[in-house]
Amino acid sequence: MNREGHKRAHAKTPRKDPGPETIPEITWQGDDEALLLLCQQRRPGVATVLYDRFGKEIHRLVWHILGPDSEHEDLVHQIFINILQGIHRLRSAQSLHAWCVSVTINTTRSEIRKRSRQRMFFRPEKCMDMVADHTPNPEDRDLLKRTFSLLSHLPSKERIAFVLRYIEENTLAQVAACCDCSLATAKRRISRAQKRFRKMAQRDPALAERLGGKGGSEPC
Amino acid sequence: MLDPMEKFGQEIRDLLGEEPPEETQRQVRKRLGKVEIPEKRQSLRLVPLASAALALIGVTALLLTWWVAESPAPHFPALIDANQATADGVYRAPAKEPLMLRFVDGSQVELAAQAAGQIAYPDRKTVAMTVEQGQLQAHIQTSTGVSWQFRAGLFRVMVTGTALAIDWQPAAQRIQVNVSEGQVKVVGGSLGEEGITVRTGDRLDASPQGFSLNRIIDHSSPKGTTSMLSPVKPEPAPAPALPKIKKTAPRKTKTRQDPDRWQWLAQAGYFDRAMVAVDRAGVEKLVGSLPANRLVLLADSARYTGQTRLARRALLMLRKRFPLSGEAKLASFRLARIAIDLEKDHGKAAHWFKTYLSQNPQGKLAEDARGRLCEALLLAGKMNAARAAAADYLQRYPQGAYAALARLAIQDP
Repeated sequence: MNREGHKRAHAKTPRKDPGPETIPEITWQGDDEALLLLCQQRRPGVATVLYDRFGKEIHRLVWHILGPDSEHEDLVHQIFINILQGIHRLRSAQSLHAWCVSVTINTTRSEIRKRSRQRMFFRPEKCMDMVADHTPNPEDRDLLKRTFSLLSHLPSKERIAFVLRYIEENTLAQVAACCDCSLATAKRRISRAQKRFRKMAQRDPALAERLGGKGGSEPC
Repeated sequence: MLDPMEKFGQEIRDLLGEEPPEETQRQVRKRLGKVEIPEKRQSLRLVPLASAALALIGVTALLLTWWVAESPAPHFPALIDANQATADGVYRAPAKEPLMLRFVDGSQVELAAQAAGQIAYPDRKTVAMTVEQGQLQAHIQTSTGVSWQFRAGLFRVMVTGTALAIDWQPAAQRIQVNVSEGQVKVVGGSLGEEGITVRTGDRLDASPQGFSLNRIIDHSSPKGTTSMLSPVKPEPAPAPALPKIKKTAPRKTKTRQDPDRWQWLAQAGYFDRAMVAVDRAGVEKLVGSLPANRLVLLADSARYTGQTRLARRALLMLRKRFPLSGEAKLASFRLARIAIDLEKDHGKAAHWFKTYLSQNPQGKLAEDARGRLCEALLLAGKMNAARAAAADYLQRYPQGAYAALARLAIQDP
């Protein structure tokens, strides 16, 4: 443990319980090791600190996987709750970042599965409500809607691998690391997702035109 | 050079942006500030197997209860293959072929090429299809008690019958409705909330500026007396020409071929395609077995597509097989019109007009028949007979639509 960092963290943390209505203002300056210790000690206000450290990245991942979604806020909140609930199992601060990404991916995958089940039992899917706010241009809005509608028909693992590869623009190794699978499995998922997506996109002239013909290529 | 998929991914990423709006992020941070850090979760590995099984049963029971209590009631009739939707519930037919939507109750909606529509279930007993553009044909099962609606712009088509065709042109805000079986009610737009009822064989053409309703079968007349294409408001057309209706039928699909398919295609106005189906079913078989009213439909469909031989054959067979029927009496008028308008055989036309008049001297089409008889005789060069027919016409209908022609015939040296 970095003693100095720990001290700094303690210095910036309010000593009293801030109560449910106040948001602790903590400017985090410590390292991941100190943050992990704070989380494991369940210090008040540590959720906000964790959010300041990883919030942007988690928001971005969920945003890219699910698209503009009315439940985005709830989902990110749930991801942080999951992180805080399971953080006591983490032994090394070096794994904190990878672990947070892993929890994000898993929670998002659960959400996608839940929606698939709901769709199966005729519950209307709540998604893309924020598209109108996010993209005022109707053509862009339409493209986003169509794309995420097709993505919603992909199996959750394939969908995530596809998004990490093509929208997040990760390398295959990074996709494999995020999905906690081997490189070969990541390749296979991306390839399958790509084939499925292309097949579905062929029915949609606008998407088919963008994807340029029927042929698919291996993920590289 | 980038793979198209990578390029596409980049485009989507650019549209999405790096992250959600600032406000969303602020809200999450605010909520997390209020959260109490949850207790450590018990590892499932420590839970005995029996407890896990019990929990599973409990969760299953809860889920079932939740589905029953919380989930909206299953929508009936559901689509058999809901995966046909291309984007967020929009069903879009490909550019060159139709898209068939089948429902579990047996209803079918065929979107013609390039047509698009969206299906919604406002409540358990209603199916509402919003037509975004293009043509569709629907065969609705009404026995299930589910009510169907088709929405197109301001117009709503409430289905109470079974088969209809809709053509929606969003740019012109124009809708055409052909009902081939049963009846529908169309409301909204220029039709107002009271709407208009469109029955079997009717064709409604409505736009925000107004509407017209063409009746193929006059419902007000006694059965079998009138079956001509005539508008609801009678037009004083001096020499009504045979309508040449050519509709672009959707392309052939791999759907099950129904031997009666040609009938609903014809009733929906797809005469070209109906004739292809007639060929498949066998002309000889059809003219020898169809009932009188279907023979009329066959003859009309053939007439509209210019197949005069087939039309004549169907009408002659109608006269032969059902000599006493109302359709048989009208058949002679139809034969006359085929002869004068399509075949330009004026002598034969005069013969058929005379036949019609001899069987229906006071029929609804008698004035037309007398006027056109005069015209046919003039065109055939039988001047004496034409003058006699003209005199007879003027005596009966001095202000009739053919009065001017009749006077000309009398004055012509």
